[in-house]
Amino acid sequence: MRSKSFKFLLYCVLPLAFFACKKENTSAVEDKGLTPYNLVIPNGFPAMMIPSDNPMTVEGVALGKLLFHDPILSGNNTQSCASCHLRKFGFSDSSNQFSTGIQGLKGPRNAMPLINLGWATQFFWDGGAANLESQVVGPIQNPLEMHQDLVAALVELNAHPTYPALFKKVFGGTQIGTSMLMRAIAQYERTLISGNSRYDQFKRGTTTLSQSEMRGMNLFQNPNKGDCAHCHTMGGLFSDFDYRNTGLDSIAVDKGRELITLKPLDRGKFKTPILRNIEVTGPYMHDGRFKTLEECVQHYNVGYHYTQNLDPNLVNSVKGRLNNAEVQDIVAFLKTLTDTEFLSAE
Amino acid sequence: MKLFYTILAAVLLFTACKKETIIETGTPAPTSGNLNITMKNMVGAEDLVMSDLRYTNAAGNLYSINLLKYYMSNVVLHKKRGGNVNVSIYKLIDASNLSTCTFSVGNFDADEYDSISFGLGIDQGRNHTGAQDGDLDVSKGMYWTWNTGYIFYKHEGQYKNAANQLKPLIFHLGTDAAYSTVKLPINLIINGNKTMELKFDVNSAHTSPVNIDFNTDNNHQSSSSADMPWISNMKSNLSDAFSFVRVF
Repeated sequence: MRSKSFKFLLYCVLPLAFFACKKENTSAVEDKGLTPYNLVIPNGFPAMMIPSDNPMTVEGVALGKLLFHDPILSGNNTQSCASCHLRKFGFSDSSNQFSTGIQGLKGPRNAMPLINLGWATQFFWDGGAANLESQVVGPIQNPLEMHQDLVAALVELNAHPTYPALFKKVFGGTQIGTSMLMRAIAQYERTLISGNSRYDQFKRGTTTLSQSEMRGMNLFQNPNKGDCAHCHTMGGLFSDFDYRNTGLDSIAVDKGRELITLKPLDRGKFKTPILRNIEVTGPYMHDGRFKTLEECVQHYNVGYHYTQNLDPNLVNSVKGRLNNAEVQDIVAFLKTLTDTEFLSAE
Repeated sequence: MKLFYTILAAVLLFTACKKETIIETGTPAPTSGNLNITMKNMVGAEDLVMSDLRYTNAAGNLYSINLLKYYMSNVVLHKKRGGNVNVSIYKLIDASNLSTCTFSVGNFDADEYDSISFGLGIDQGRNHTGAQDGDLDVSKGMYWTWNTGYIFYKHEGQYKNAANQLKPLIFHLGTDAAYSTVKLPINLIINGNKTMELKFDVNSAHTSPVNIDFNTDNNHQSSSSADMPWISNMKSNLSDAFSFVRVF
């Protein structure tokens, strides 16, 4: 009897509960005349956590995309987010070490690629933005970047011929507010998903990798060789999203994560970047100091400094553990992470 | 014995009912009332005058206040007979704008309250969520976009240094470590709508219990580990800088 009622619960009531939840979620969006956005999650990726106060809608994503590409959000209406985050470079800024803002000034760090952001937990090189919505207003306000006052941006948007109706449709309300701007762009950014590289196709068994690429993949994971996968987790994301000092300088020039946590132990630590489309997102490191992937791999092979806070994995590594051919193999593997479909999409 | 208890219970029950009936049908005393809080921003015994180089702190620094803003949050009223009422509220006080200095905390049961607690700043649960409206709207100038979180307390002005030169004073207090809870004894009886006046003393925020000398501490933006001692000092000073004035 007991097991019968348990089975009843399991097979009848439980599915109903899920069905009920699901229905409620979609209808909340549909009640407003909006279409839920169907995010396609690549095989092998974990589920994406969407904040409950910012459900993805086709209309919201379209609005976010429009804003992302509109220079109206910069101080003198000359630059948009897309000025320094170009799709063909994995939404990073071409070969510029540092991007130039509207005042002709350069920032201190390399523009980050915008790929698979929906799985990251914090943003910017030092993780200063706690969520994607918060990240949005950083570059808009930064005097070295788009240098726009948020209040002024809202005045412009509210006076615009088409934006007020678009915002109203997605978020309701009578006025465009900061939180709406943040939510719209975050929705668009969550759709920038790359999961169809040759590596992914290889994992799905639809393509093969060359011998060099295969050797590179093994070296990438071998803790006594590349030891890359320690932080650039294999599988979907290629990052553990943690912060590490990789010994770029003997004395950290940029305090990195310390600026956020105010802890000296975090000095010189930066977020592990995802490696997808790494072939086109150079130059590399938080300050864009390396032009090539070979330089990057060689840094972890022989270049790192035994600085304070150096990541324990590097402290314990043996310098010079990779020969030149092995470095080339790892670089060959890294290039299998290029997703041409993602880079050429509209 | 059993009968005795039954009778006792019955008597008690009826008495209780009767008593309540009297209140309902008798005096029309309100059972609740709205509470407003009015912040009086002062320097010592003086009402705050913006942008005037007229104040002297305990360290002897002559200084001015060109901007003074702070967040009050999570109000708790403590009943004299025990029990609390918690109100989730996030209120930005701007000393230069009197309309922000009075705010409604909500409706409270008619009762006697003998202390109030509130957060100075934004609690950790809310501090790192960006897309917020109202007083937490990030366009209010009290938000760090490079380090998601609110500026809990902002004082900008000028001071005269040891060499008698006029220098900028910049205090931006924030990060989770800076969040403090202020608890004050009050004398509040809610029996209708009330306004409670609280005082914030800027001098006290730089004086007690830690005496802050502007010659050494004049520019802190909670952005480096070097700011941590100042954050800790301000945290203890701020919880001491508020006091109860009156209820009307």
